[in-house]
Amino acid sequence: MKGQISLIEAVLSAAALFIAFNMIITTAEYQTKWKESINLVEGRDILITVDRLGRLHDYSFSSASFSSEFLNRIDAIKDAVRKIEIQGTVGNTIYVACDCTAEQISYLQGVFNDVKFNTRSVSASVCSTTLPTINTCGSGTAYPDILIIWRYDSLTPHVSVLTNFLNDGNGLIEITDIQNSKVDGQGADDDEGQKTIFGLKSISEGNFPSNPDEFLQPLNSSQVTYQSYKWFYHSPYSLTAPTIVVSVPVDTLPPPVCLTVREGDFRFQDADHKFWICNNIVSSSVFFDTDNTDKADLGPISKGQRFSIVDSDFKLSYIDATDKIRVSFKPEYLFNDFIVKNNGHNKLAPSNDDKNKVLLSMGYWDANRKKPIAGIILNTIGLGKTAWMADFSRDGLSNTNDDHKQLLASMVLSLADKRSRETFQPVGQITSYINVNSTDILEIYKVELSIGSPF
Amino acid sequence: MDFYVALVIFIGFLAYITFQLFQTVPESSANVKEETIRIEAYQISELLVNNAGYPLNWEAQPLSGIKGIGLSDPAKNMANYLLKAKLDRLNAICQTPTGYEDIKRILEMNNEMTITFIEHTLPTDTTWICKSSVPTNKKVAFNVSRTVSIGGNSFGEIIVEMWKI
Repeated sequence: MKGQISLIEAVLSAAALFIAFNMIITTAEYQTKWKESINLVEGRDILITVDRLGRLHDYSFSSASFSSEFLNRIDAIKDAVRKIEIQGTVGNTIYVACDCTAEQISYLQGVFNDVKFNTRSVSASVCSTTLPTINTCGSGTAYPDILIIWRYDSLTPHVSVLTNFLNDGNGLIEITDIQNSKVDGQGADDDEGQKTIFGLKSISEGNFPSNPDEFLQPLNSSQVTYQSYKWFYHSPYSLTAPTIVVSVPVDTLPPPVCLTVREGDFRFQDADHKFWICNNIVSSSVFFDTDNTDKADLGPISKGQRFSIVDSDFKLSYIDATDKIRVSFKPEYLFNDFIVKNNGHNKLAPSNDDKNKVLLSMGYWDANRKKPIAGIILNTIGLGKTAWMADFSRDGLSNTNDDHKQLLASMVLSLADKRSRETFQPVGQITSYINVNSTDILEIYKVELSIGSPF
Repeated sequence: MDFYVALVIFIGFLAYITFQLFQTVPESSANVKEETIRIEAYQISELLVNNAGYPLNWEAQPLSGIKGIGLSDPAKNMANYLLKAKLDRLNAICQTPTGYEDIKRILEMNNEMTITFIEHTLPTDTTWICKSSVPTNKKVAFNVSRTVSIGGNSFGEIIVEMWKI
């Protein structure tokens, strides 16, 4: 018995010692993260180098040319899995779902037919949708970037659908005239959806004054109206001059010498202003008719030059071709009023009385300038933004002006989802780089390059 | 009886520990050497890419006046922005009979290495290599490739490969 106990003790001791030594003296494989680190270094080097070459902005929005002109030529990553994505600014295509008529969809497509800023073009994929369905417009994700509701519809049944849409980081624009009684909180006629989604309430005031509509200048960049304000004043608006004419018809100006002349219309504040592009070999210039005589009385205007037509300031941002110019609106631009339909409509204010949510107004209801007469009210829900706009097209889309189109484009560009639609490969190390471009408008965005080994 | 059992167990463990040590120590030692090679290769690549060398205009100095080699453009002082004149000078030094050894001496390197430079110009790339004229067996080789801008006009790669003989 004594011998057996000693044997058991010996076996137990041996087992304990074996385990202890095995833990202390391990032959585990020495693992390094060099492969991943080298991928990160390579990613950083590539983004910095492309920036040094002044091509980061171009390549960020053209992964095909980035691959063919740069990445495919780098020996170190020829066999690697690469992907680039952008966060924080609009992509090359904006996906717009519109609960509206075919004519309105055609109008929207026209607005985004030729949008170009910061040396890149942005197009819109516009498709029809009817709430509660929100068509993705081929975006490849659960939602489009932005939803436009271009009519009055009771939104109360759609609050849940719209809230989910906005919480996903998307934008919502409503273009309609709203009866004051729909958001006055006075009874069964109330549209809770309008109040919840757009943060609207009606206010009891007297008659509308006869003022033009003007922007309320944001106090800082964190204000919800800041982006829309910025887009309106910085994004160049495309104007085409389709008609070939013999010469620039002048009033008091000396007749310019041009190789070819093209004539077009710039329509704002409900008035047509003709312009002529005087094309020459060295440099082209533009002439404008400011007093509706169909003769040029302003010019020559060169690229980058500021000019005024009837108290409105503009900048000739580009002479893009023999038949195209791009013009930027400059502060303080005034719209011919489109807020007032009648006293029973559009007497609206932000539900929390925050006047910083008002983008466009026709003055104030009070002498203390606390209550703007709002024409565009923005709101934030989750990650998404909403905007209610008075219906500038109530007299027919053909009666709208270039300034309305610029305003609508600015609203879409500022409210659209700014997140990337790409999904990274599961393999790869991601390098981030913040890029800035301010050729026309200040764009700050994050470029992410993923480099990974295929195996 | 107890004594013998204990003795056998003791000897067994001594043998086990010795065996394990003989197995582990060389492997750990090799890992440390590999790690040293990797670190040095990366440090040399970083020195070349993001350091201007000493004096700052070393590319205009005679070999005896060069105290440090770096290819960064001191006028720009930007990461990954190389000066073409420094690259040309480095290449010129490398092509002399003692150039490789001179580069090793200035960089204070004990290990063997090659520096390959590829400028991605169109239609064909331009390449030069700085290496020893004496062939050596490569053990524990490691290379680091760095993408760089040359004067803000073109781009290229510097590949530093390092090994122990």
